Amino acid sequence: MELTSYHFLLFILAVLILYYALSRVKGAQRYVIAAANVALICFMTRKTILILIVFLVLFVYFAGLLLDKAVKEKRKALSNLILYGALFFVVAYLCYFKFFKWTYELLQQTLALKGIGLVEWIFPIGLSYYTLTMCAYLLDISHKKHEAERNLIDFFAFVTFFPSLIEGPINLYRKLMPQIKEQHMINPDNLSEGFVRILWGYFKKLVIADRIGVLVIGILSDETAAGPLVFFAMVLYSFQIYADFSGGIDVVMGVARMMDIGLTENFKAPLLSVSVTEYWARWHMSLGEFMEKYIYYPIVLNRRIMKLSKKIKSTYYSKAFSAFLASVIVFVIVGIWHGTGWNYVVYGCYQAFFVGGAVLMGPVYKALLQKLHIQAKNPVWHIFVILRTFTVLTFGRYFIRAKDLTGAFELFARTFTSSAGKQTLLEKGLDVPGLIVMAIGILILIIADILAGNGIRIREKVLHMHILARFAFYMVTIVCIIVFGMYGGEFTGASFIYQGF
Amino acid sequence: MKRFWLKVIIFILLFIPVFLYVQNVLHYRWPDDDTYAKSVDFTRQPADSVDVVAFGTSEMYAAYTPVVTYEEKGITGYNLAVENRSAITTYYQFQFMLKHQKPKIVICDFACLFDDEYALPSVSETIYRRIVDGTPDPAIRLKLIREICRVDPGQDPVSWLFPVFRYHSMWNEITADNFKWDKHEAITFEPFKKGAEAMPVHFDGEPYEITPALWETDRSPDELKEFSMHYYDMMIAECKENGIAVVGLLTPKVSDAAVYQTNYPVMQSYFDSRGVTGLNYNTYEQIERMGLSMEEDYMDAAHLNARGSEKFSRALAADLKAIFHDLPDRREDARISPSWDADLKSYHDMVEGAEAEYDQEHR
Repeated sequence: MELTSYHFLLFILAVLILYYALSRVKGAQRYVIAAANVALICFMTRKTILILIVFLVLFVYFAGLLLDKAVKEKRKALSNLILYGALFFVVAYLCYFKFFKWTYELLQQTLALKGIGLVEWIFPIGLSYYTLTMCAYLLDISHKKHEAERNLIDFFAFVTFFPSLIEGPINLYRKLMPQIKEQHMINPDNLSEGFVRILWGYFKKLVIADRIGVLVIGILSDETAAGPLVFFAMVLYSFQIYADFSGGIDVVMGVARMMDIGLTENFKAPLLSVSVTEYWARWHMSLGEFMEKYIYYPIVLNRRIMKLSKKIKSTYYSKAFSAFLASVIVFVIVGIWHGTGWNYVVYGCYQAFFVGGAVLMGPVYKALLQKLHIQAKNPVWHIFVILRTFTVLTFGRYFIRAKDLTGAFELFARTFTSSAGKQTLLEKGLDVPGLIVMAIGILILIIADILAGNGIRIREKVLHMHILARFAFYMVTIVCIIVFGMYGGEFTGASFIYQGF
Repeated sequence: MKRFWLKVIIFILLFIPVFLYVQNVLHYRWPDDDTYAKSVDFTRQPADSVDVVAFGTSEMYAAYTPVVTYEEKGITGYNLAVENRSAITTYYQFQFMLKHQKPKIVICDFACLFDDEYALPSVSETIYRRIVDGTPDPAIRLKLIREICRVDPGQDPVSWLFPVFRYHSMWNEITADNFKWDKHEAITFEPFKKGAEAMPVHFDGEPYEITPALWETDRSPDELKEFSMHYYDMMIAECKENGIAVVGLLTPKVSDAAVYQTNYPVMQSYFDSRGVTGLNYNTYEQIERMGLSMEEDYMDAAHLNARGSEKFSRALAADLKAIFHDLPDRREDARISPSWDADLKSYHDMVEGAEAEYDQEHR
């Protein structure tokens, strides 16, 4: 069951009916969520995966209770032992599934020789998201931000909250759990808002992202394609990954909104970013929030690092050192979190280079702008820095688009090589009308970001339109998704790009 | 809250016609759309007026012309064979037929007896789409869709029930025709053909001489496949229940002379075990008997043209009459003979007209 399948829509419909049918029964909605989480895990993957997930949930649940007790009893050594032991286990669990597939394959081969068959390896659904949720949960208990959850069903409902199980966002206990525990009455505003958001998500995913995907694959899989065409494909890929990921998140947010539950926003017009640092504050914000709170600040505020930074003579660099170090560590982790392979490590280093560089070179950059009499608010300069940031990020995506590091360097080499023959876009999977639809889709994406950047949300405007105009808008959008969406038939709809993480 | 649900209901009610219109616009137009058109034409046949109904693939579609069997021996019939092959679709076409007529004989070429995975919808989707789209009876269509999704779990039932989800990517190919409400509006099957292809065309390509050497082969016979036999068996069983005789018929398909030389004995054993009458016209002797020549009587080495079909249908009429003595002579049936006589005249006019046109062009 994929996010774009009608099975998913039927599943959501069934959950919503049950959820609101039991709205007057105190506490029943939490059980509906927990049951929906179990059902979705079973529908989307093997049932054995559910066992693995339940095991991890139980482990963190009990670790949380023990940690809470140790914290309350002010037994620091014990609480540290429980905290770091549990964190180690959770991270090791994630790392095992992310990086050690080969050990399972080795076991499979060994047992096969003895005539014992093992089931195929499957990455547990949503593992990258809920392991971070669990880490945040344990860290917040140790920081006394909240107590441990005592109700196991509630804890399970929170950790594996089904809408965000597929593509995130990463949920924090203190934001989500109170909402799960609340009783939610059916509210037309929530249903309408959620519906519009789901429509917008499917439009982005099926009409824009998957259409771009055809062209990107068409160009990059053609080994004779080189020069600007390859760079153009990577520019398109930047739009594809944005439309795909944010489209998926819109569906998730829409479903949660329909349940009267607000999740952490994951995007804030990232196309308008004027620097890589700002980009990471606008892109995958729930991951950014996690990294900032649980990795960046603990490093910056670490006494040993502060002591080390004081050894630097320059006052500015002394202050900037810990921020630089924290940025580098955070982005290397972000890179590794995105996937296995050295290309992801380099991707993280690439981001760290720009973010860390911005920390170190901040005053130099400022002085340079002043010397050149460039006003940061100058519209031409503003557009220039947006395009500059977009270009820098596009080059960074070479590392995640390629299957490995060698592939990424090959892609770079192809970009800076002139093509042997005449290259035309029309041979790459989309015809002229298809290219026009793609271009319109990208334009809509950019306009939506510009409007969002200026505080104008299209979906809010839609909800305030006259009912007939709203109906017309809904119908046009649904028809556009049905007609122009890339699904079924010859097109094997790629799963949401972030679904694999 | 009530107002909200009222709005939801109004929206759904408004959306349904919009959706159906979009589905109609983006519905694939099959070339000629003869499967749907002739199925509709079949339903218009007077009750109990059709004594023979043929099922099968394009060779059968091209070979059997019912008006000729009527002219020859007074045997009325209808040709429901289609361009592609699948035992599943044949069975559901048979079900469709039973809803409208109770013929005395069902003729089938059993062309899929040796097909298995090849016949799966995921492999040969066109076959199934053609029949699903070409079946005017919603109940039969639904049964066929259920069967398609049962045998091939990878199939998406929604795309079969609502074809717009399959054909939506045609949006950049639509023409003015797509905006006509009835997708079959401009297409009617010429009633006098009674479902037959009856193409008065000349051989396409270089004809070759039909000699006994074409049947010489050292190939091994293929194996009967359970997958297809299952549907044929159901069809045969239901024929028996309804008192309908079944004829397993091999058309004179010269291109596959060697294949059927080895496969027909296997088919015959299948026919014998099920009480099906076998008629093999794909032998040198039968072709000699009918006087078929590739240049004159074939469209290509597999399909007869109208002239060849006429020769074949006359031979078939004689054979059916010889085997099934109680087949009525409908030329004496005052209820239907006037319309069949008129159809026969139209048929001859069409063939003669086409021949004259051809002669004029090539004079």
